[in-house]
Amino acid sequence: MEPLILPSTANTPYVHFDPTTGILEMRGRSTPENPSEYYARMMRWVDQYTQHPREETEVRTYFEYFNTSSSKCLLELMKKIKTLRNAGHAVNWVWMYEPEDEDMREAGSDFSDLLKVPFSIVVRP
Amino acid sequence: MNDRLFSEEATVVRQYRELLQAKPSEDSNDYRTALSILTEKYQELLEQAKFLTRISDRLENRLQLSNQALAEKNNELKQTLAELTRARVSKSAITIIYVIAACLFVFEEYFIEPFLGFMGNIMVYGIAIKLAIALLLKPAENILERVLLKQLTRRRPNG
Repeated sequence: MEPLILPSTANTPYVHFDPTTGILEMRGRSTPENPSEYYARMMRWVDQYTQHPREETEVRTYFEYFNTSSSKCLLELMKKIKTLRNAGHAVNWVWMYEPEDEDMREAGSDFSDLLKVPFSIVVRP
Repeated sequence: MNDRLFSEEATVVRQYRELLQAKPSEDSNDYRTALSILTEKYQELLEQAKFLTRISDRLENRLQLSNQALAEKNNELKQTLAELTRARVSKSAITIIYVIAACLFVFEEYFIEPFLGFMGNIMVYGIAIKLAIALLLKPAENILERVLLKQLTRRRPNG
């Protein structure tokens, strides 16, 4: 399975989903014009990955900003990744935020509550 | 907003509409199961609605704060620009006034003082005229500064 690498742009995040390490990383800004279309590629990749996942998967997210539509897509993506946990695989959720960015910290907490999975919410090193 | 964003929810609505339009089932458990699934989906949707509202509120708040900061910076920039313009005008006014003053001193020395010789004490009258010129420098500078500023404002009505 090929890794998914999407370079960052002014309104889309950098994405690196690596099937060999099991690290799924997203960082930057997410305000794409058509979020469902943009996130569809990630959804498809995760669908494939869930067929042959690693024992342990780490989801690393660091967002400077995302719009409401992106948060809905992120939620759907995370729900898909969560199915790995339901299938008995370990998933670590790391939500990073910029120091003093309380909004992003609270957003991480909201995602964690809604997905009912513990997030490691940390200040970006 | 793209409709595909809520495609799952739209599918649920379509499925349940179809169920309502279908031939009624004789087994009440079918309805119970359907209702149970629908309640779960509704609960999920409610939680999502709360979540999205919170996210949206935060974004709006952030946007407002950014707008406020931008407005403050804009005001600061306007003030700085006004001060800079004033400083430039003041500098021009000082230069003009000092050139005029130098000309007046020369004029007084070479053209007025020879005539003062006919009136008696040259030194007293000479000093008095020079003193008057010196004392008028500052008020003249202020007037000139105001005139130049007015001219600039007229040239840049939005500035």
